[in-house]
Amino acid sequence: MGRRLSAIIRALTISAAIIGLIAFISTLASVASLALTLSSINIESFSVQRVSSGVSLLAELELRNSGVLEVSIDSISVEVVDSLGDKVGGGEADGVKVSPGSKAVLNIPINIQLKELSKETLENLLYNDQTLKAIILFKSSVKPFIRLAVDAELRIDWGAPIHGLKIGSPTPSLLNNTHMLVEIPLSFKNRNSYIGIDAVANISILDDRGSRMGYGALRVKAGPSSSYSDTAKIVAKLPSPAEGLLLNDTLLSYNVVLEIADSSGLKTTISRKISYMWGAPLKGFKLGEPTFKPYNDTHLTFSLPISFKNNNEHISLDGLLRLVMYNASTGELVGSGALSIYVGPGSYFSGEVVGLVKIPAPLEELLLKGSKLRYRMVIEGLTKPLSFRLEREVIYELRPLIKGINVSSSYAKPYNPIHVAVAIPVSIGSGPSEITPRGIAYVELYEMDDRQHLQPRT
Amino acid sequence: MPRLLGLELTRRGLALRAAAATATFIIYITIFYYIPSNLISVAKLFTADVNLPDLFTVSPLVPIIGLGIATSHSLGVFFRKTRAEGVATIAGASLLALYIYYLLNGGIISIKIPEGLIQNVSIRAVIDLTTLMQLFLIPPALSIIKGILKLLER
Repeated sequence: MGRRLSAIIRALTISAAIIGLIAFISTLASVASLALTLSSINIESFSVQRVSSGVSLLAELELRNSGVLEVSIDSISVEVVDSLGDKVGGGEADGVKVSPGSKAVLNIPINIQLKELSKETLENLLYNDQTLKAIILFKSSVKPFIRLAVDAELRIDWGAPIHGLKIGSPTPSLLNNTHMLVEIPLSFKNRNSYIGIDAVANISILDDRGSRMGYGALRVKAGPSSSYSDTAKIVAKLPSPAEGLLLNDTLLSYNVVLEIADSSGLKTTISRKISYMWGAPLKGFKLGEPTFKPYNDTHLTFSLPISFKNNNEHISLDGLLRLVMYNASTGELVGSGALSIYVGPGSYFSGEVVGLVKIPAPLEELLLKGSKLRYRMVIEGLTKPLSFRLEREVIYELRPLIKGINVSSSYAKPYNPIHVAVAIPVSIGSGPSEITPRGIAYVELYEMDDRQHLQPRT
Repeated sequence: MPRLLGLELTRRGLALRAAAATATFIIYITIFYYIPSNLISVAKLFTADVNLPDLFTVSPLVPIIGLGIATSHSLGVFFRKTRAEGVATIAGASLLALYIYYLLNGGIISIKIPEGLIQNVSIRAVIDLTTLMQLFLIPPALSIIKGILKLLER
């Protein structure tokens, strides 16, 4: 019994020692295999690609197992969150088994689905430098001894791909009397080391009421860690009525809406208020008092002073200034004149349009009583780049041309057998009008019959 | 001749037992008490600028149990071939099992590597050593049986 017990005790002692040794060796082998494999992780390559859905980052890791037991990388998942804590991307990798003495490659794709990000998240990612947090969940094992679960947070410095976006001061220039060309400088820095920007910037100019006044597009291309600068050229409508802009300096306020978008889902919109002090090209436009002079039986010449200041700093008025006069009551075209002009930016203009105008009827009334001439004047600037048209209704008072016609007692004397010479003293006073009538006064004699009807006689 | 729990010993034999027990105590106290009690200081001999208390913690029971293990094993050596050897073996093996359990934190060890130790990376790892722990618990279990058998043997 005692010998048997001793044998059992000896067997137990030996078993305990062997199992303890096995446990110790197993621990050493498994810990060493796992530690050596994990410490051998080497980032073989790291690439960033723009794909249709956004941005794809691919990390290629190489592992070498210098231990004695097989190490399994059971799973790896990565989640990337931005500085606001919003998830911006993620990915998963299939597991690999690394046999002792061999190596394996682990591909970890991280996809940032730009199309699926909220507007705030996307803009935070685009405009702000920040530290992204990659949360890596990693499971590994050395079966059957050790299982390892690692939750690692990797901080990644993320430079804003569109940093310091500046919409510069617009420079407008007139294309014609309805549109202007607005040049808007755009600039930003791509501070991201991984991704480039290759997008289209659609630029709209909206007025205060949100109506689109102009549109332009620009290709925006900025590689990683580079600067971008270009000028967008936008054709924009001038606000109506245009006459107000011709005559008055105006602070034009616009909303520039810039939308940057590419095929991968990068889409961001920003807007900026811009204003531009528009100098009136016809500031202080003034029609002076016309002077009329006789021209022929039916027309007067007129000379109409016109003055204004071209207060616009960008445009010159070069061309013809045409004046067309209509009878304000009947709409009948009664006269016109023209003047060649060139008015540079900031220059004053003062000149006279000379033309012909019909003598208003009835002439007798004009001669003796004077007349109020009501004209609708259309002033057309056939100039480049800006043509314009203004209408003014003016009333000019023509004072009587003659003052009183006095006929004294006539007398007759025989002239020939069939005629008598009649002398009629006529005096005509000069009226207050500045027009001095000149011409021939014709007198016709009529004989009155019994019925008091006038009968013409030579 | 001196007697030890009914066992006759020469003075030299007793002195040898006392010396062996002391040596055992010193070795065990170093392994099971001193190292766990001074784990951080010991670890710092091999690493630099590491905030080890943040990495993982060892139960404060571990050194105390280690002290019991050292005592039990040294008593087991001293009272070899007496009835007390069985008791000391059972006590030592039980304490060793407890020691293994607490040292391995029940088989699950959590390690926290704060940011700074590795640039831009912070790591929280959970190591499941349950199988190894179970393997390590077999020898103490066998030792407990051995201690019981030794009790029966005397």
